[in-house]
Amino acid sequence: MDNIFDIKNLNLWYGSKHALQGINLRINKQSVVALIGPSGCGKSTFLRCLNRMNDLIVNCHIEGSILFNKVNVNSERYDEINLRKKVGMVFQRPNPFPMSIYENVIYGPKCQGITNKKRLDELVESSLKKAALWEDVKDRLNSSALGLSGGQQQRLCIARAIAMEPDVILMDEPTSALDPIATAKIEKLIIELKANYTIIIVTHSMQQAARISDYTAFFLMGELIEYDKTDIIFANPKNKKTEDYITGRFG
Amino acid sequence: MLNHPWQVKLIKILTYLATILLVLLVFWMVSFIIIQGISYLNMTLLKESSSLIITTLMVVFLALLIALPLGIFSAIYLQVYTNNGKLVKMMRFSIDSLNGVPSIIFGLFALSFFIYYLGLNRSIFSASLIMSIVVLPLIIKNTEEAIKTIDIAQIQGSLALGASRFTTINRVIIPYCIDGIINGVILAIGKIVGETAAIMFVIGSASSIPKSFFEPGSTLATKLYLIIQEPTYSSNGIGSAYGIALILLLIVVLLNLLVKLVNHIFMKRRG
Amino acid sequence: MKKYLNKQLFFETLYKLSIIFASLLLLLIIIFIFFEGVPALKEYGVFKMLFNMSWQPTAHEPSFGLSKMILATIISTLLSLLIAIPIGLLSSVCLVRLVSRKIKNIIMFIVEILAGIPSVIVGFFVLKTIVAFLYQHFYMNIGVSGNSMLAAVFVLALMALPTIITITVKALEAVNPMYTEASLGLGANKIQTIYKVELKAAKSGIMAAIVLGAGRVIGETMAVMLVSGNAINISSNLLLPTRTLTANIATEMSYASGLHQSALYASGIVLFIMIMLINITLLIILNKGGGDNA
Repeated sequence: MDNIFDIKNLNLWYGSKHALQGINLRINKQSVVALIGPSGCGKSTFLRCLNRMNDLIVNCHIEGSILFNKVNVNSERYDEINLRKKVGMVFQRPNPFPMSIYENVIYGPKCQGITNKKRLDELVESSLKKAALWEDVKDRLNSSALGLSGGQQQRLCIARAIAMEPDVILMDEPTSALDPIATAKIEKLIIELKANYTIIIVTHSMQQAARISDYTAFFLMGELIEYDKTDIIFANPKNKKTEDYITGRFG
Repeated sequence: MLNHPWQVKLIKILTYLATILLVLLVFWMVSFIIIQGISYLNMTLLKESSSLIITTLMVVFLALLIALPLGIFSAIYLQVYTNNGKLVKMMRFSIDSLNGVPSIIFGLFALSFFIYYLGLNRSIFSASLIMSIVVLPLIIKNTEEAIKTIDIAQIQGSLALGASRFTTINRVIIPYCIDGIINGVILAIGKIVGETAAIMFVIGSASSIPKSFFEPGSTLATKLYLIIQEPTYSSNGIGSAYGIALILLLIVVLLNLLVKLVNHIFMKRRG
Repeated sequence: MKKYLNKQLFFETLYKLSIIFASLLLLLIIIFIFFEGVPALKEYGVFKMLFNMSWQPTAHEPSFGLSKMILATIISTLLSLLIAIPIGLLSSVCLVRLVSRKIKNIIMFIVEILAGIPSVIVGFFVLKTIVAFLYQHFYMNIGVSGNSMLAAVFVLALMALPTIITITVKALEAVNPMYTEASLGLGANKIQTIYKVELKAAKSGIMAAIVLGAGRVIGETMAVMLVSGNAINISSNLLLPTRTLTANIATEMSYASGLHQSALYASGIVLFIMIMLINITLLIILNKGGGDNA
């Protein structure tokens, strides 16, 4: 099994706050990895390192190596824009652009320079199909994305990310702003997507992690406490802190 | 589409150039006025300017005397007592539009209303009257902005506050808004000091220190305009113009710094 | 208790009276401008006033045709905006997205200073620099004195810039950061993000900036008067002097009387209507664009 991400000794500081401490983690291709832990434990911060979104934050200092397909992307020489084309992201609150559904999906490809109308049309259809949204919107591709429901908007954001044909999709609590029905739809989608993409998902819900992930990583106060197959983490955790969290003793 | 590095670089350079151009233009103008103004500074200029400064202050004072209470009361009404109905929207449109009226129109109105219709003389008093109208929307807007930041004001027109609490509202609102009000005052002073077109038909002109509000007078700006058109109006000729321009510029810069200072102080206070 | 209620009633009435008075001012101004201007409109004719090319108020058979001055106003406005809008937009983008916060604050202070400089001074400055320069280099051309449409365009662009920049900067800063994040997360670079997403999201604010800048420029009197020369003339040669509606009013008002004066008020009405149209356009834009930045 190939590692798509190999993170070695990752440290991150917000100013003087040591937010991530010596993280070591290997992520397998085409798996779903859940990142769990109490608020402020660093799981979102860690996620954002994987597509260098933390670069946008002033006063943020990152050390360590993040090997993506065996190349260290945590270096000034590596073009972060290139990275984001292969490592996509879906955010906590659905954030489609105030444009049409069609324009939302082709945004990324257009930025890359793809202008062939036929190709773009194909891309839109395939991405929306993969995101299980095609049937809902195929007749109104030119209507505003803001007219969709919350759950649909989030699936649109997923389609938007898929349109870039990435290897990895990062998801930062993608269902926390959605109702249970929309959440279930997206969870089903994630399991389907696993066949073609590696998915790393930050979630506040342990039940969600248990439902959809193959591997789970438990973070606490900036440290990676335990990382293993989901079954093991939930049924037989090796670290006491993990067990405490799972059984609800805190967090 | 904008994805080639050279395109990105080009656009970045264009934006930098635009900004640099902007800054250079301002620097050019400011340094021009300062350098020329300083070279013409002398005692006669300062003596001449003193009457201008006093006249300008008189207009500022009287205009604010009228516009401040009127403006603050209007702002209180708009924020605390109304419900955003159609009437209020119309009132707001009327007041906001006043902002966009060109100063020359104010000048025409002042002539027609104050001088012709009401029969007032061309004087500092008449100039103050029209300037109070000019700065009224400024005072209202700034006071409103300050009131908006208080939560009490969000309870618009709600008598749930009880009639008995009304005086407390006033005792709380106005002190709390004092920074917004001061902001409005400083901006208004800036506007009054620099105004020419609105008052030039109703202020007359004079070369000496005015003894009352009901005499004609010349403010820094109106005198500056007169001298540029006719340099013989002043003993120093065009030199006076440069001197007056310098004084006006200094006042503007000072007022701008004052705004920053006031904001700084109240930012700390509001925490 | 009664004394208390009386006090409350007193203040409430005071507030009511204030706002009523304040909102009636605009009406008062309109009434008086119309009152003074209507006689000329009636006597000379609205159509003639708007479209006749000849403005000779002191002639034996006076004519009050405003068309050349209306054109001068429109052309000077359009040309100055043509300069001010690109510079304003580009520098706003630079200030909000491409430079540090510290530099942005310093430059915004400089912009505020520019905004506060009285128009007489800006006009004076351009008179002694640009106009002098133009005269020096082009005096051999017939009719060129330095005072020109070109100088007027320059001075108007200077006056429009602070308005355009301050409002555009505000609009850009108000753009929902989620859009920026989403765009960058999709592999777009900073410029693509600015152009394809942020400027679009800030569109209504930017339109407002332009419209307000236009309003400022159309109504500008002193600065234009000092540098545009006195000739009632429209030509494709920007080096020739010209006269806008505002400059016309300010220049001739000092010695006008009777029907002449009324005609000047009438041109004030025309100016007023032009500005009102712009204000209404602004209202429409703001109402339309309200829902974009959700």
